[in-house]
This record gives sequence, C-alpha cells and structure tokens, in this order.
Amino acid sequence: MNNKISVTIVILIAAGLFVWLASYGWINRYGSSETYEIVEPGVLAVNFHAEDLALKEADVFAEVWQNTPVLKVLLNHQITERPWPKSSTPSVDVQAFHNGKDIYFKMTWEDDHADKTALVDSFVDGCAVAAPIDTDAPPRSIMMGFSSPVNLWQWQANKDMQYWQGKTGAEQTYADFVYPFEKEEIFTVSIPELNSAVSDLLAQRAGSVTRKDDQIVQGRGIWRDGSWNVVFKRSLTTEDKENDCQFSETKQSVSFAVWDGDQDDRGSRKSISEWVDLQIQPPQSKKPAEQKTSDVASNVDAHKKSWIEKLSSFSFVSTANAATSQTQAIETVKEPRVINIVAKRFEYTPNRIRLEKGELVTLRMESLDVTHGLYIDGYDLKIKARPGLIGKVTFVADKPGRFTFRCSETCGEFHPYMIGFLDVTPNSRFNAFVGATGVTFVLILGLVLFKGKQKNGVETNV
Amino acid sequence: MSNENNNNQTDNDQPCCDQAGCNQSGSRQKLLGIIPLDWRFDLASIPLIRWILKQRWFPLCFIFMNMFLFMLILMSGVIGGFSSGNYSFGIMMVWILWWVVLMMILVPVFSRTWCMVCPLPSFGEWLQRIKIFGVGKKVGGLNLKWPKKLSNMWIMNILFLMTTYFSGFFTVRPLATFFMLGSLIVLGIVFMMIFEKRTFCLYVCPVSGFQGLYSNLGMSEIRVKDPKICEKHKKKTCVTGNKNGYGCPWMLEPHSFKKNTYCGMCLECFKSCPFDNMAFNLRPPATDLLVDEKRGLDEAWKCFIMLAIAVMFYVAMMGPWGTIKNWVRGETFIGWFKFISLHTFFALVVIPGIFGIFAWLSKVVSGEKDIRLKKVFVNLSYSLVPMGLAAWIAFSFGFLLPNGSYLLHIFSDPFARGWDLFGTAGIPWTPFGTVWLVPLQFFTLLGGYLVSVDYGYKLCLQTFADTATAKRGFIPLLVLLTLVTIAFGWLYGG
Amino acid sequence: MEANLPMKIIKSTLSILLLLFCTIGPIYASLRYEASLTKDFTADIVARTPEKGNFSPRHIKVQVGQKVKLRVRNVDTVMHGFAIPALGIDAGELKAGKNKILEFTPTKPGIYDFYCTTWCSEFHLQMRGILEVE
Repeated sequence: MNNKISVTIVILIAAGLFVWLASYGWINRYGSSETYEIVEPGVLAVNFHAEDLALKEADVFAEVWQNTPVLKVLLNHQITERPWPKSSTPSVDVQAFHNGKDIYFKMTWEDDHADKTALVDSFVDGCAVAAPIDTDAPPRSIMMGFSSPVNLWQWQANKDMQYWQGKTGAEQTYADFVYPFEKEEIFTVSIPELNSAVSDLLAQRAGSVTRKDDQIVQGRGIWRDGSWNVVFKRSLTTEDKENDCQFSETKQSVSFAVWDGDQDDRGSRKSISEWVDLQIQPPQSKKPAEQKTSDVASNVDAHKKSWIEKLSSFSFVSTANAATSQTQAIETVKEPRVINIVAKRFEYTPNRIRLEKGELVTLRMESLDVTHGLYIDGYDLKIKARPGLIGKVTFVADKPGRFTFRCSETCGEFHPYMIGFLDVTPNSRFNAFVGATGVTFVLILGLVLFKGKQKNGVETNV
Repeated sequence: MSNENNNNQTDNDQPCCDQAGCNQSGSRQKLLGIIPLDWRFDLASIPLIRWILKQRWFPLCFIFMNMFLFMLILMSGVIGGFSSGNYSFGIMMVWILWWVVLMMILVPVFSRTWCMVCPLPSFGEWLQRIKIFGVGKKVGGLNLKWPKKLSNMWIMNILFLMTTYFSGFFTVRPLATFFMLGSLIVLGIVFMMIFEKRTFCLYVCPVSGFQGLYSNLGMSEIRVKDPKICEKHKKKTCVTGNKNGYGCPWMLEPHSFKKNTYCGMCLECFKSCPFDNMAFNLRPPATDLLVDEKRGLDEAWKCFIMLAIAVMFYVAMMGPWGTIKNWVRGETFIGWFKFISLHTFFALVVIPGIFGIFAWLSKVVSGEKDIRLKKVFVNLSYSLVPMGLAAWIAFSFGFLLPNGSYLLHIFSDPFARGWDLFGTAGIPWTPFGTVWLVPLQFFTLLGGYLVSVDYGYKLCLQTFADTATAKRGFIPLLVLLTLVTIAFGWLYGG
Repeated sequence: MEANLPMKIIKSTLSILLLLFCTIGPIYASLRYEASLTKDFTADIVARTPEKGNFSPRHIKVQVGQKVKLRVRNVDTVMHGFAIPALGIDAGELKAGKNKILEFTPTKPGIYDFYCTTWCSEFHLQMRGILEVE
C-alpha cells in the first residue's frame, strides 16, 4: 500500500514537472509571452456623390469633402530599400469618393513648409497613391509590389506649380528621382512638357518604376495652414486593363506615400503606408456587377503572363555573386538560357530544372514572401533573392547528374527542407549505379543457377 | 562475388561450434565469401577493457555525460519555443548529431551501445533501484510483470510510426523536440515505477524497436565466452544478480541468449558474473539475422516500417514537392491527415503487400509444398534489414553533408543568445562535400544490397528444406532486393 | 560489511553530487552565464513577425546623454532587421537565430521609431516600436 502511494507521488511529480515546463515553453514559444494584435489598416469608404470636380483651387476644399469620411492612415519610414529617408511623416488623412465616372482621392498631411522648387540638391514635396493592377494579388506587399504590377500616381509640388501656374521655379535642369538606388538614380535633365501634375507610373518591383505612355491621372495640391491638400482624379475604369488599375465594385486596395522635400525625401526616401482596402459604393443607378467580376477574373491571367514575360526587360537588380560566373559567361559567347524560378515558402517553381550537360544557363530567382536563397549542391553556387528583388547566377552545367538545390537563407521552420532538383542530363552517375546493380544481379543469379546445376553432380566439400 | 554456396552442404553434419552466435546452418558460412561468420574478437580479452567494463561507474559516467547534454537539449527546447530549428542546440544535437551517429556508427558497429549510455530511462531506473551507484536489494515501484501478449515489437512499431507523424514538428521546432524527449523521460519513469526492470526500454520506447532489430546487423555483441562454465554454474547470478551487479535488467538470460535484439548492453552481466565469462565480441556484420529465435511478424513489420519511413522522410524532407511539405508540417489538419493516412497505409499495407507477393513467389518457385507461407515471409523479411540500414545511412548523408556545419555554430551558441563559447559561433552555414552526396548514397546502397543479397541467400538456405529449393526460392527475393535498391537509388539520385 | 560503510556513504554522496552536477549544473551555469552577459543591457528586444508577437518590448524609455546598450534577438524563423532611421542606427540584416548588440548615446530627447528592415511577413510594416529619449 505504501509502495503504491509513493509510486503515485513520484509519477505525479514527474508528470507535473513536465506539464509545467511544457506549458512554460508553450506560452513563451515565440521568445516572450508578449503578444501583439494585428492592426487592420482600415477600410476606406468610397461613397457615391454626384459631384464633378474640375480641380480648380476651390475644388480641393469643395463641400463634398466635408461629407466624405476620413481615414487616418499611419505612415512608416521606407526602410526596406536603401537609401532611407531621414524622417517620416507620421500619418496622412485620406478621403475618396466617386461620381460613377471618375474616382477622387484626397490626401491631407501636415508639413510645416511647402517645398515646390526642385533644384539639383533641393527636393519637392509629393505624394502618391498606388493600386495593384491584379486585384487578386496578395493584398499586402511593399509599395513597389512583387506579386502584381502596381499603378502609381505620383503628385509632385513642382509639377503642380508648372502645370497649374505655368511656373517652373527652377531656371536650370532639375533631378526627377524615381529610381530607389542612389548610384543609378534616373533623372530627367530637361523639364518635360506636362499634361498633368500627376505622373502616371507603373512598377513591378523595386527598381522598375516606369512612366506610362498614357498619362491619364489629374491632380492638384494646395498648401494651406501648414498642411498639404492634394486631390487625385481618374476615371473609375479604363480600356487599358494591363497598365491601369481598375476601380470596380469588387475588391481593390490602395496604399499611400508622402515625400517631404526639406527632409531631402525623393525616390525611395519616403513615408509609406500599408494597403488599405476600398469599399466602393455602387452608383445610384445600379449596374449588374456580376458579369464584370468574371471579366476581371479572366483578364487577370492574361496580365500575369504578359508581366512575367516583361520581367527580363524590367529589372536591373541582381544580388547574386555572379562575379565569377560572369567570366564564364564571357568565355562562351553563347547567350545563356534563362530560367525563371519563383520561390515561396517552402517550394521552388519549377522544382525540377532539367539541363543538358555543358549548357550555359542563367537562373533568375524571385521570392513571393520572404527572403529566400538557392544553393546548388556540387556546383557550390548561391543566389539570394529578397522580396521585390531578383537574384541571378550564370553558370555552365558541366557536372552531370541530379543535384539538389536548397534554400540558403533561413525562411521559416521548414527552411532546411526547401529543396528542388537540378537534373543535368545524361545522369551518368545514376546510370552507373543501375549498371552496377544490374551486373551484380546477373552475376549472383548466374552463380546461383550455375552452381546449383553443378551441385547435383559434384559434391564440393570444404 | 559470393561463393557462400561452396560450403552449405556440410553444415548440418558439423556439430555446432562452441562460439557464440552459431546456429544450425551457418557455422562455416562466410560473409560475401570472405569473412567467416564465426569470426569473433573479444574486446574484453584486453585486461584493461575488461576491468573498465566491470566497473560500476562505467556506463554510468557516459550516462552522466549524456545527461549533462540532455539537460541542455531540454532547456534549449523549453526556451527555444518555435524558433528556427537550425539554430537550436536541441534540434541539431538530436536530429543531426545523435541521429547520424546512431545510424552511421552506433547501430552498425556497436549494436545497441546507445541503450548502454541512454540517459532517458535513468531517472526511472534510479528510482526503481533507489540507488544510483551501488547495488541494492530494495526495490522501489510496483514491479509488475509485463503481459506476455505484449512482449513483442508491436507497441514499439506503432509508437515509432506515430512518432513519425509528427516529424514535421519534432525536427524543426525546438519545443516539439522537448515534448518528445520529455514525454519519453516521463513515460520511462511511469513504466519503471509500475513494471519491473527495463520493461519500458524493451517493449515501449519507440527508438528501441529499430535499434533492436538493426542491432542484429551490428558488428558487436555481448555473449558468453564458454557456455560450459555457465552450465556448471547453478546460481546464474547474471539472471538473479549479486552484490556486484543486478540481474539482467533487460530480462534476458545472459548465459545463453543468442540474438542482439533485446540486449541493451547495460554490462550488468559483466559485473555479476563471478567467472568473468562474458565477452564483448566484435564480429562480422549481421550474423544475428540468421539466428532463428523469437522471429515473428512484429519484427517483419518493423523492417517494412523502417523502409517506409526512409522513403516517406526522403519524399517529405528532401524531395522538391511543396504540397507534401505543407501536409507534413500540418499547415491544415486535412493535409496532415492525408499525410498520416498515406504514410500509415504505405508502411503497414503497401510495402508488406509487395514483400508478401515476392514471398509467395518465392514459395511457389521453390516448389516446396509443405512449407508455410508465414515462415517464408518472416524469415526472408530479415534480408531487408541491411538494405533498410543502408537506405537510412544514405538518407542521413543527405542532411549531414549540407547541414552539418550548423553543429559548429550551436556548440558555441547553444541558445541563440549571442554566446561564443568556442569561437565557432560566427561560422555560417557551409554545405560540405555536397558534390559527393549522391555518389556516397549510391555506394551505401550498393553495400547494403550486397549484404542483403548475401543474407537473403543464407536465409533461404535456412528456410527451405534443401539447397536446390532454396536456390529457386532465392530468385524472387534477389529480384525484389535488386528492385528495392534501384528504387532507392532512383529516389536519392535518379 | 561494516568496514565498508564509510566507503558506501562517500560513494552515494559522490553519486548524488555528480547527479546534481549533471542535471541542475548545466542549467544553472547557462543561466548564470547569460545573466553575466546581459547585466548592463538597457533592453533585450525580441524580434518576431507581427502575427507572432512583434517586437517585445515595443516601447523603450532611455535617458538622454546616457549610453544605451540594446540587444536585438531574432527568435523567429525568418530574417528580420532593426533600425532607428532617425538616429542613423542600423543593425543590418538579422538572420534567424542571430543577435546584434547596439550601443549608442542619444543626444536629443524625442520619440524615435524603430523598425524591422527586412520584409518578413505580410504585416511587416506593423513591425515597429518606439524608443523614447527623455
């Protein structure tokens, strides 16, 4: 009886200790018991107002804006890509409405000084609205999205002055920064003819900002009482579904950015917001929305394809250690075969790459979620692809056989198992293995059968 | 290649030699025609080694050392939570170092030496003995007998299979590794308290089952030196124990056992034998596969499960298929359920089914009428053991070579807190010798294939009535083993 | 048997001491070592993606003119970063399982945001906190 009690006590103590440790571990499974509640960035109501604004100065403060709900959108430093801004604008008040034909956005933010003149070393205030062209793309991604091309409407104070008041403010050329990388900043050296204060741009990922052929967005900004008030105007939908974002009653989201000129903001040095969902109220005269949806959906695939084809011409960025392999590329004058790889947790697409021995290839990898890498066994090559950037490596597939390529940047719990196969044909190693096995098989079989027959005749003794 | 056929005729006439590990049919057989199967070298014939093996502190000091490491492993599990597994001391120690050492060195060379130094059941054992160091008469716990019906591998089979259901968590989440090891310790204590001796290790511990089976292939064994001395010794202190050592905790009869499966190499018999009659033999690999003792469907299924898990792990962990990875890591319950059902079906039905077909073919081709299919099935299944171990070793190369460098990091910085104890914390992930990975795997598979075929033939000789039928019966088995080898080769590098 | 009694006592004490050394020992030693490393830290910031708990702590108060020593620990499974752009402080890429120790002396009072600099999750932009210099 005593024994039973002590056994029970021992078991209870052991189990209790285990449960206590396990629950401690569970509560602190993310390194600390502190939790965080995801803030939903909010929904911007786009109500219907039968109001047509001509973007006169008074229109920026028109009465309709008093009746439009305001959403305060929190802004962040853009510090995913270098160079970084010095400071950030904390938030921007956003409003939007539509009149069945056009959609209007208004951005209001505090700025104690209006910077309207662009010189070589002084920069202007500005703001932008971004909307993905593919509305089914993952709704959150950096401004220069990587899962869908983004349509950017960038308003700049100097262009506003030039367009609406005919003044440039600058007598010389000025720098018009669009490219986020210091060394290769692209700037316009002449003052272009403007047909709007807003630049209508496209981007797929960092470093790919491109001016659209059709500039169809209008905008106007007024600085008053220490605040900028900027209004954007564009038609709700357009014909060019491949290059313009569309605002239908289905899903759409937008994000915002603000540049502060006297803090030297330009290009990628800006404050950015998360994606904000739009809730577009149907116009008073109701239209059947159903058919439209399917239209959009079927168009989406078409966009995707054409955009993937455009990738090569669009990106200038490589983070790969291609230095050594590029010399190889020069030696063999042939154009490398380009293979595009898309990496996401925990799979590569394509997951098997088939090459022929001696083939010159360029692997270009793009990540859809977090930073991924690619290390090829045997070839000892590495690629690193941060989201929004492309990693590249060029090499000659001179070793035949099947090689594993694996992720080289910790990307999640299954990172060690993120794997793909590189088949360099002919797989002579496997053929040799099968050959060896086959020969052994035949030998043993022969030995067994042959000796078996002999056995009946001669009795071999040891 | 293998001229083992030369000598099988005389076997039955010869008296069984006095060496340990001999059996009816194999006293003068040779492995691959080169190494005689009855070759033994008794390590304990070296006086210093015998002296060490007889000390009570001997396995204990290793247990203490391992316990030291296990405490760090458990701690890194508790505070490591859901962190990155490749920077966790626990994950890396268990799933890279331990697993690789176990599969590549401990099991194939030293049989069940891991069980000798395993710290997991020690708490329970000490509580049961109420002693750490010495030998006592008093016993803690209830000391119940384990039911006869469960004295086999089925529980271990099922538990091991179930453990692999969670492989997507254990191998990547430090906390999950803690759950696994911690629950093994607690289970160990519970079983030690309720049942006698090492019941837990013998019939429950999931790691024990495959070690037991695969240690038949191991190149070392603990056996009696001279059975005649034991015959004269009436007290049998190796079973009952004396003041120098406990009676066999693994409930064997050290004076007469023939097979490694259930010998945990705890070395108690070295201590309790008054005649120094125990030997720690080195031997050619896999001789125990021929020992016809306690064979059964449980061990056959163990072979199949191990093969199935090797395949499943490769597909899930080293294959390129993201969908399967999402199933295994339990992204959705449905996916995970698909994984476990497929896995279970594959392990318990598909592989045994395929083997069953070939066993049936073997029986038919052999032309022997009055042999039971079950006997053929069970006996021949042991030929899969070398194949299975080779597949596992080859699989283990697949994470040792690319990921071994993590070990250097975690020795210096075990809890990912910026420590640098030995100056190696800064070493980045550097895959090593990956160009040799697939060839190494191929060589390992070929080695396993040769040993499997060799033992397959010997098992046929043992199973069937005469050499002629055995040779015919061997052909389907040979075909199967060849196919299995090529299939693994295709999986690993085709 | 009686003569062996002192020997027995020595042996059992020794084994219990050894047991303690091998079980509590490593735990105690590592906790002490960690404590000695972290004793002069202003804050020990744990970095997780927002859905797993974000930075912790997210609000740090420091005194102006006093040296600040921060350790940022990436306990997550993905790469993070840590930067206070307004103070020009950047820990660079912080791979999973890695730590960075940052030392600086704030000279101007104010409220500064710190951010994760690597795209780590779809909620990456919410991965931020506040350094308050008083």
